[in-house]
Amino acid sequence: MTHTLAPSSARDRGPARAGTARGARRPGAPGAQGGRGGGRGLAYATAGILLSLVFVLPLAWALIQSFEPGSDIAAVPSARDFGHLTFANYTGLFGRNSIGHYVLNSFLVALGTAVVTAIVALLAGYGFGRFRFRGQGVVFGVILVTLMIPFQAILTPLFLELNQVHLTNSLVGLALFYVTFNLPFGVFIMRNTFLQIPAELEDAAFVDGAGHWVMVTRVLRPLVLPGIATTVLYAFLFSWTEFLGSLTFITSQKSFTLPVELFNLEVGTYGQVNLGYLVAGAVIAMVPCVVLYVSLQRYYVQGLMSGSLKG
Amino acid sequence: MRARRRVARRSVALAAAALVTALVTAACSGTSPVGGSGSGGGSSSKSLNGNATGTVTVWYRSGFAPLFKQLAKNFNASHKNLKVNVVPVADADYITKLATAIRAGTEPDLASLDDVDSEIFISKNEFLNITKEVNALSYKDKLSPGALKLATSGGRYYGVPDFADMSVLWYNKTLFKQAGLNPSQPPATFAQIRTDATKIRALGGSTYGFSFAGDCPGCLTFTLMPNVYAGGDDVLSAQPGHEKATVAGNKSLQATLKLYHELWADKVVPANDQTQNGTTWGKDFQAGHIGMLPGGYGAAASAPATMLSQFAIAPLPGPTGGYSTYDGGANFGIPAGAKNPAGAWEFVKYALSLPSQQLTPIGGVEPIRSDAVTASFKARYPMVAQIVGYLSHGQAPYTVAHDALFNLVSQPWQEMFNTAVYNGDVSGALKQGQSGFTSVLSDLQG
Amino acid sequence: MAAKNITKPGRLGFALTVPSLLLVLALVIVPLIYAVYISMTNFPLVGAYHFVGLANYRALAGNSQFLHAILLTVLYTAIVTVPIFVIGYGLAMLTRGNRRGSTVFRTLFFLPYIVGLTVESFIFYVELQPNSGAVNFALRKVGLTNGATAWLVHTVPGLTAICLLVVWFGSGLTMVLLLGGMQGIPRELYEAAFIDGASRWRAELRVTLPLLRQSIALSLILSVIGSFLAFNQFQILTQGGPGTSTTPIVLWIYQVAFEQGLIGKATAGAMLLVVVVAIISAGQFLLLRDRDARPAS
Repeated sequence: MTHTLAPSSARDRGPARAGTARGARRPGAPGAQGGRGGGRGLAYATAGILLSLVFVLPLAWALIQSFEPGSDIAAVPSARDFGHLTFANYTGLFGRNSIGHYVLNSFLVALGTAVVTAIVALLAGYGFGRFRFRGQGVVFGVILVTLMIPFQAILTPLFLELNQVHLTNSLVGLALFYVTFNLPFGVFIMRNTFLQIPAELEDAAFVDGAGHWVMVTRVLRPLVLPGIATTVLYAFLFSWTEFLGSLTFITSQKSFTLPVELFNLEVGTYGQVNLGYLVAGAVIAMVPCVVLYVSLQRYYVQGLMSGSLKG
Repeated sequence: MRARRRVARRSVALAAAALVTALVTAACSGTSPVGGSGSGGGSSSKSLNGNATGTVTVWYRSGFAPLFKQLAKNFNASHKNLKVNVVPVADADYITKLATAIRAGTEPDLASLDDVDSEIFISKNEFLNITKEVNALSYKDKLSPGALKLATSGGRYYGVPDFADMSVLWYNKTLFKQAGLNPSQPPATFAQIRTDATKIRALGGSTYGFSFAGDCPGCLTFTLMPNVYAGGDDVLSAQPGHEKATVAGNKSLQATLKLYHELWADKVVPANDQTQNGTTWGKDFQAGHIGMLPGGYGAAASAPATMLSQFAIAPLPGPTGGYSTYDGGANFGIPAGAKNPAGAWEFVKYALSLPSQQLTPIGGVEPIRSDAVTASFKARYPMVAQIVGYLSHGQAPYTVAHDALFNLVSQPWQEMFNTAVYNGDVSGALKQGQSGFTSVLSDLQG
Repeated sequence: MAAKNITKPGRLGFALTVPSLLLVLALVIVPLIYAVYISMTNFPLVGAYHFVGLANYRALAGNSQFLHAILLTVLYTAIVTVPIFVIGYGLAMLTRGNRRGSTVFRTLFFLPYIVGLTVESFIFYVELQPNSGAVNFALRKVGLTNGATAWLVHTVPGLTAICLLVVWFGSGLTMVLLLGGMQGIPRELYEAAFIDGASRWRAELRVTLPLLRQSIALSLILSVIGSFLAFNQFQILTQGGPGTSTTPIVLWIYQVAFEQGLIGKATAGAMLLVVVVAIISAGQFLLLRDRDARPAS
């Protein structure tokens, strides 16, 4: 399947236009034309709204419940009573439990992971997607193998190895670990992204005298940005919610990340369990995910969708 | 050009291979096949007495933070050349983290760990032999014999008790009175437990006679094993490393499981107890709804004073009399590769001193020295004083397999409990327990 | 074209992939090799270890808990893969036209995936509590149960809850992956099918599915691998209980290694898992791959 793009205008395409330009023919499936009959429209709206409610309900409920005191949540309700809504869970978490500290740790690790993954995956994707060299398949395969290995299987040897280079109990070491396990997905996406770039675009740029650096950062950027956004978002989210690796590699409390803190709240490491704290902690963990997703959404969804086109 | 490309690629491949080899060798060399970090584990050639300086790193289970933070503060204020750094480690990973740290050479100078886990390290020579030092303690005979036993191997001491966390029978005097029972006569046999629980349940409503944490294997071990010990039996025999399961034919265990099944079948226990995994254990007792609750001091001690004054403590009885308690709590161990063992011993002595021992209730636990119960301590913590009085009758599983048998819902202890109590099949449960214990032990000993 | 050889030497291409390769080699391949070695020893948590050859593997063949874990993992994968795919496909069909609101719907359907399974497991832990949890509260209000179902302490309810959670979580990803493929299908093909008198469903079967091969393959592979490697939700919600009835293979590995301290035995099981996952993925990949995938040059 080839797509034609007018090369000369490639340089001024912004991401939004790249999206529609790809499907230069309109999306094909039936239902694309609006209003094929009021009945169809109503069915669509009903299904859409009902399903949306189902999908969002648990999260919205958690948000509301995070304002209930823990004792209310654990109490046997004769009727659901939201009479004592309060900020207490949040003030407690940020105060006595210093959850802000763990949020910061998680954030630093996630950001570092996202940035490094994006850079490394971009390079590799460019190499796989636009170059040909012998053993290409093998190298790609080796990187992909990571997808199939549960890291629980290599946890002990990995810990011992990281310990030798003083990277255990270190947020940097943890980020490197996350980067590595995000690479298969990131490289896959970036490779697909680069594969879909038509040769004419590159050739034109080369003829114009562009070097590789300019090629990637200027010429191909608009086409490549969705893939990068996808990789960044995926790596950030993975790192943000990852729990077992952090639990294993980080031994001192000051370097804990947020999911570890949530787990401690669940099992009552600090004393009696407060379900309100747990729910509020979960909400705190949710917020950056949602914010990041909504803002990068356009790129992300396109990136995933385009990434899935070519195997 | 082609040749150059091939050469260039080959050199990269060689570099990669070299890197891999280097890393594998590095990883392997970090762990010696023989023992831990290898510095003469088990020998006491390092002198633990004399001037200790520098810093001491102490690991503790993070649930006991209030106690250790206070100890550290006091210690650092009173010691000029020696500073302590107390590090909290989550309970669930403590043993794994300690074991891995030992392999990697990053172990602390001193570990305060669950006393039933001491043998895991002692049996592999990972803790220093401190027999001389322990024998030199003037109060050695006042230390909990049960906890001290758990730090012993071959007649020598490789650890020393830190604090105690024992199980007792809490009961609600008000409910006893309301049910027509004598509040100064807590039940002393299984039959009495059953009758008392039934009478209290008859008060109706949300009042129940008895409560247990039915989905918390550790809680159940803590509270049921004393019933077995009080009957003169045990579920394990022989030395750690060579343990045998003595579940089949265990009369006291059979009686205990039968009691719990009857309490469950009589419905004198809240239905929720089946799913109680320990996180809200004791809450309904603290609210005054439960007649009797086996548990630790911490299970009810945090109730408000108005409630606490209605509660009392009795020892956990055997089937037809006698009593016992579970010797939980913490032991100290000095890892063989500790950098500052003298400093570690200094902190141990400090933590075992009377003033420090009398601080233990702030962590929800009890002193490990019976002479810590002075008149003023008794006045301040009458219930803790009472509990310490049970030290002489205490026991705990003396094994390397504690974490593989009693800790998780997937392990044989909980499975046996479920079969006996919820399914009513006590004899089948004993068979199941015997084979489950045996297979786990053979894995560990093989 | 000659110009390409000069500006795009294979060497540079290779060099670009080196950072990824090095990271994977160092943090995945090396520990994996080491793990293979460990699986052939009796590596305990504490103390000395020695080589035992294939003894661990032989013991696994008769280990009922291990076999049960495999069975549970396969069962779990089988139960969730189809709903995730079918629902995801349905969601994709629903939102692929650019109607009003379809972007909003897409966002909402994808939201559970974004928030992540770990956080959602914690939330469901609270909501599945007997009597007090929201799920039981709702069931009681509707009159279906008495609200006291202890979901997480019994095998079938626990597994049901986890499966529902995972289907809710994963459908969004399938939707997004399939959407991409769907949007690339030219409309002319559908029009031709309708002219030939095909119904909507027939058109879906004949036109969409074949051209969606890539996307379907990717979403199925990710879904199956993910299910085989499931861990967090089981650890957080049921801890594998009661007994080992809800213990999938990775949780088994974790418990044997870090609770029982038998790292050699656990690693042997882990190596078997790696092989199985590799075979399944390779099989899926081969069966469903696009025969003419090549860089556009």
